Amino acid sequence: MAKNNKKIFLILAGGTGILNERGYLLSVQSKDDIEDWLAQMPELNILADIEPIFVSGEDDILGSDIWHKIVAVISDKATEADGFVVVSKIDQLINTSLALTFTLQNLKQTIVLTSSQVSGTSFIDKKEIIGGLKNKYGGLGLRSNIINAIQIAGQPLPFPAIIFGTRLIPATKAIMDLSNNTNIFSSIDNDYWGKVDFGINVKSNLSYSKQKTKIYTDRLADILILEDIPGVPWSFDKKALATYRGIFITINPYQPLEKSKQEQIAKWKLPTILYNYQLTSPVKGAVNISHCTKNTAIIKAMWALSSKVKDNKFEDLMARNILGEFLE
Amino acid sequence: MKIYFYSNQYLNNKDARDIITHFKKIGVEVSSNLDSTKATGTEGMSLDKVDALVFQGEKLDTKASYLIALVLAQNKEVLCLLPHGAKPDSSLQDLGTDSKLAKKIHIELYDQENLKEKVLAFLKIIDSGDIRNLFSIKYTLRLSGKIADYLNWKADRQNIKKADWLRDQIQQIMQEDEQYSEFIKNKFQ
Repeated sequence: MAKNNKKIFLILAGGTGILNERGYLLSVQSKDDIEDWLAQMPELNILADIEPIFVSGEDDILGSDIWHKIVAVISDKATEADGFVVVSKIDQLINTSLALTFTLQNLKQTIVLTSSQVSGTSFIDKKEIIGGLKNKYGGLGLRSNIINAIQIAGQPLPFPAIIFGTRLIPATKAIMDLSNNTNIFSSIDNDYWGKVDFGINVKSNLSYSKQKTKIYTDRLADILILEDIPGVPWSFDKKALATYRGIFITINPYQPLEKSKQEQIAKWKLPTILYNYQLTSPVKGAVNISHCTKNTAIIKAMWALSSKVKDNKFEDLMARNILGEFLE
Repeated sequence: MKIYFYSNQYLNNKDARDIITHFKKIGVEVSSNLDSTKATGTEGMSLDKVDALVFQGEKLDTKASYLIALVLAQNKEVLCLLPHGAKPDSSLQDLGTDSKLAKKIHIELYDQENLKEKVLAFLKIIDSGDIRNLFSIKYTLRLSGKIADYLNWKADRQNIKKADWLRDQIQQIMQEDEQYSEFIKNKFQ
């Protein structure tokens, strides 16, 4: 074991794809797969005292239900952990990191998320992508990503972050950058908490909250997400919205929302968020959000509409800069 | 060839200086945590650009464990040079017995007499390793129109890629070059 013998929980919720020596794709689909999967990475044993915890399989749908389970595991193990590494699906990694950011506020233990370059157990549909990554990088990047994540999980961070390739990115700033295979995620304002070269250099001037830990164990609320195209009507009525707690609409920055759509929002009487990164025109009965990433705005709304949080006024919560999610 | 050298003995470490000197004498590019200049530290290069890692010291620290794990994950060779009398770390011994990693991790006890020999033996291993045979170095090659025409014609005629044909030609020249073979034979003497 490493000299400091830190206790790191490795939480598995998809994103576990790794190529074995023969080039076969291995992933964790159930608890029984963990032993073989970990045996592919014996190097991990020199880094820390690692305990894997299975939350969901490679092919399970990753969303609010699984985030809820991850939160339960982390809050249960927090007292015995030095840190948590969450391995999860690449296509939902930003949302997963944000869900943990809003539900596990000011947790003393560091949470780092990472993933394999691909997710899902089916090989045929991904054969070309996997072959390309194998030829170019020798694998799917998971080994290095987990090694980096374990190293970071033993150090303090203000809130959950993603480590992927050579970048450590705070959850609230992470965006996908598909032009770069090594670093699929980037920071919206090009500000990184750390970079990997001959080691991991975490920024020394990060600001840490002194507030008490707040854990929200409720499942995040389901909201309907729309992208508005001016001139295209919203052809659904109030009944269709019955199963949602709110509506999130991405709108254009400079053109006011059409009057007919403004009237629809007033009729729904459902919490409605209008989002654009640059600016939004105010609409009666809706909350306007800008200057944060779209993923941050969505997950924050899902959190703010979950039952334990609802005593606070939704509009106030959405407007408050809770974790520095609004960028200057 | 590029090597990253890490030691956790920062003061009066003559062995580390000797190891770096042995590498440099035979033209190996060495970056090290002991080098205080910006050019070789964390600036402008990353661990995935090196061919191997060399650790020297009595015991692993957190950083050494991390570097070893990361380099092994990249399927590259690691040399751990422990001074004679030092007891290898138990986790290091475990890695040394792992069927997959045993070929990649080389744990050697050294003294002043055999230090150079251990370093050179390791270099021979890396030089013949899989990584060195990978076509991973990218060149920009400027050609005249005439040579380009010939290359296009030849590749088309043999139904192979131009790059493959050029690589084959260079491999063949390399194999037939007696002076170069002699140079390789004595490279690590």
